[in-house]
Amino acid sequence: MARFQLTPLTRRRLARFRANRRGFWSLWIFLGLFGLSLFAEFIANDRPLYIGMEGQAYFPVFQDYTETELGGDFDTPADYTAPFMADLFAEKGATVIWPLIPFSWDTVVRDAAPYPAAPSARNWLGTDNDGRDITATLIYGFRISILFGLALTVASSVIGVLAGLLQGYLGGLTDLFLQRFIEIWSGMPVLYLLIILSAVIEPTFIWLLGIMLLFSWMELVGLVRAEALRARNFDYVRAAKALGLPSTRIMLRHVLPNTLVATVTMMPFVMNGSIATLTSLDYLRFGLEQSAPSLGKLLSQAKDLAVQAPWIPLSAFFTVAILLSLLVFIGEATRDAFDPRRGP
Amino acid sequence: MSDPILSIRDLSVRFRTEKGPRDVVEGVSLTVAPGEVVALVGESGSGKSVTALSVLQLLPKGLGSNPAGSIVLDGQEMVGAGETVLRAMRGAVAAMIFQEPMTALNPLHRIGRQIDEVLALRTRLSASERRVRIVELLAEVGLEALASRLDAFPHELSGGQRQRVMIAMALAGEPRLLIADEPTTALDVTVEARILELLDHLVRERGLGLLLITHNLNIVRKHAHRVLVMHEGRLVEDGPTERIFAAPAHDYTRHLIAAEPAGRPEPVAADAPTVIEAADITVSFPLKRNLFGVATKSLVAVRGVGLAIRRGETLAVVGESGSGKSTLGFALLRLLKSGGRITFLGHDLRALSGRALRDKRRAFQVVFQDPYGSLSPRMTIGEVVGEGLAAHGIEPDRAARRARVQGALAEVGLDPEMIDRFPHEFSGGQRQRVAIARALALDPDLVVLDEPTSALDRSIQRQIVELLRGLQARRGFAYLFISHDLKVVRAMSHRMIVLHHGEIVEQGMVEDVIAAPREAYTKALIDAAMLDG
Repeated sequence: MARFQLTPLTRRRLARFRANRRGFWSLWIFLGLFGLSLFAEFIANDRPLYIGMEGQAYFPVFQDYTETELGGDFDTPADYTAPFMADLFAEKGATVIWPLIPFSWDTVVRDAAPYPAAPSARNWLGTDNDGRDITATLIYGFRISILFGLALTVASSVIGVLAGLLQGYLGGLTDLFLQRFIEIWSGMPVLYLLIILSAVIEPTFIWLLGIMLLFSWMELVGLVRAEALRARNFDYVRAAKALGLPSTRIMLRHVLPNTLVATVTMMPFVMNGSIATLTSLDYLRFGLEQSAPSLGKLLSQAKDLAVQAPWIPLSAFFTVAILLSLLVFIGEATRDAFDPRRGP
Repeated sequence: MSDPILSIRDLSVRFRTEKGPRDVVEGVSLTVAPGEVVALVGESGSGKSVTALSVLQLLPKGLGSNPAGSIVLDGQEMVGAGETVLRAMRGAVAAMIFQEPMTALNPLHRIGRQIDEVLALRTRLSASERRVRIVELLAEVGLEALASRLDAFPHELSGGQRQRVMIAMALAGEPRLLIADEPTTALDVTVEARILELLDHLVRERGLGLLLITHNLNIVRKHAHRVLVMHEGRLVEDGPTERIFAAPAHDYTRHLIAAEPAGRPEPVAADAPTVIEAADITVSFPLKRNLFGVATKSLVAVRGVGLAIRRGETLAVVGESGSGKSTLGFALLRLLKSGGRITFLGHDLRALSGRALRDKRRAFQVVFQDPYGSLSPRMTIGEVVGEGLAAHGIEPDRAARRARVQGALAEVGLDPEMIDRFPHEFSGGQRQRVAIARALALDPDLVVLDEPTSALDRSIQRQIVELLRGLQARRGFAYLFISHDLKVVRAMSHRMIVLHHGEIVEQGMVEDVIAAPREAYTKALIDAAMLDG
């Protein structure tokens, strides 16, 4: 259909995005890493991907098996890392396929003590203070950071864009009251609120997302509001009004597209901010629940162990730095793509 | 005549585009002698402006270049000259005047300082001598009144005054050639005439050469010694003004000269019912509000205007910018709040609001001036034209709506097969047709035409005027036609009102007003339009 054909403007923007080689490659690297981390369970896990034993196939990644089901003695969930399980598999001549990294983020690596253990062939980046494999923690922490950042960015953009549209297009008292509300609301001390709240509740992913959303939706409002104020006086918006279209339709169909350029340009940076916020909250121990994999918590361990175990701060630092840099480069390329003053 | 100050030979201008290099100007040759006014005319996109920019090598860096030809300015070859040479030539031998004085002047600097900057660069005068010189220059361009207001900012001046400041800046470097790129297009017609007189005067007194770039043939006929006609990057005709207008040799020139809007509107039926009647329309914009949001100081844009339009009739609203003519149109469309009474086909329009008003909007439509701004760039023209039909539930069925949209496109002379294209694929004239199709698809009774032709080339203007007249004859639309161009007004309208500072200063049948204007302002408008026949 004609609607899906790329307009020359879109094509020119894509070309300009591609022309920024650094941003273009950053996007692919980011998408690749993110895609891989989505399958973290298949890359780093303390359960085998496949066990072929006595003509039967088992897939522990997908399904929980009890020890008795696998020929053990107890009716408890199997612990595949236990030495006797290895003996059992050897005895029965089972084919066991392990993931690339045979630890999950919360697996305590046996016989690597004393913790933290230095990098080795088994623990590529060593273990942390509690004996957990750092590579596995990084993979899971990377995933949760991006998912959190994405969710927060999308949710706060949707709310922010809608609020900005209402303010800019309707103007008048709506604008006045929302604007004053935002001024007061943005004055709230978010960090203290989180500290107080986390004393009462154990912060889960959704809970933390909700709290952060309460304060992060305002980021895009000003931008969208200004664009909507400008678009309100465009001839085609006036023409739409003269046609007798309802305000909601004018806002969504005619004004909204004008504000998207500014929004899309800002998005990688908003996401960057979200991830940095999550990491610093985790670092301060006011972030995600104690039992979640997190880059921030790794960093806070690193603070105390920087000298004895330099692999902890180095790996945590480089992961966060690379992630944030990739997003900044993508953001720069997006900004170039939408910059009308750039050449073809 | 003496040696030419400027001589261009076989000039090409090449632009780098996405699809590779494109020559927008090819093989143009021209000369300008001291004391001579040479007009470069052509429609938009003909390459006249880039030719002018090439003279001072001001083409956008990296995008435009002169791969062939030579430009000799006062004995100095400009093509390929180094930056030092170019800087010495710019402003000192040739200076440019641009179309939009508001953007060509720096809004943050006082006008005295902007002129002083040129003097400091080009002369060895001391600060106090420069000050005297600035006052002299301002006097020369007819701004004696500003001699005591050198610390004024550009926004404090009127459009005409700003353009005069631009000319004073151009003169400060004592150039021998002025290049004026559409110097009056952004100005009101009455101001335009005075700016052109000033340029004429400067050419005579100082012996300047003037290269005048314009699309307005009236200006050319009155002010130029020689005319060069450009079409699609080539020079198609070159000759003395009288000869070109009396006996144009090239088809394109004939086409340009014949492109003046002609003809008269169909007479209105004697028993035609009144479509809209407005009385005592007043629009004011609050400038200051007190603590309770009540306006304490306001700008009255339209004051006590009354009018009536009958079916099949066109009422022209004429006035210069700021006279309130567009505001009046928007007030009648209920796009702006106003005082007074508006009776539309027997309904009191000001009593309606919300849903009831939206439903009524079908019957009064609008066509805007700028065909580029009035169509959403992200919608196909089918969606643009069909949107109103869908909103009013006129054709709920998708296929029937599409057929009706195609019918509307055909009626405005567009190929109905183009329904799925986007606005950027169309020329200005075609876009304006789409905007007209959007209005007529709803089968309105009244159409407000807000300068629908003033952003278009003359030959396109003529086509649009004929289209609008034809639609009126077939469908009996009542038009409120807002314009400052009396030629188009005369070709379109039955009656006219002249607005000045928001009030009606003169009204009557178009022919009567043109034949015997009572107000000085109306006279100035008529003089500027150079009506004939």
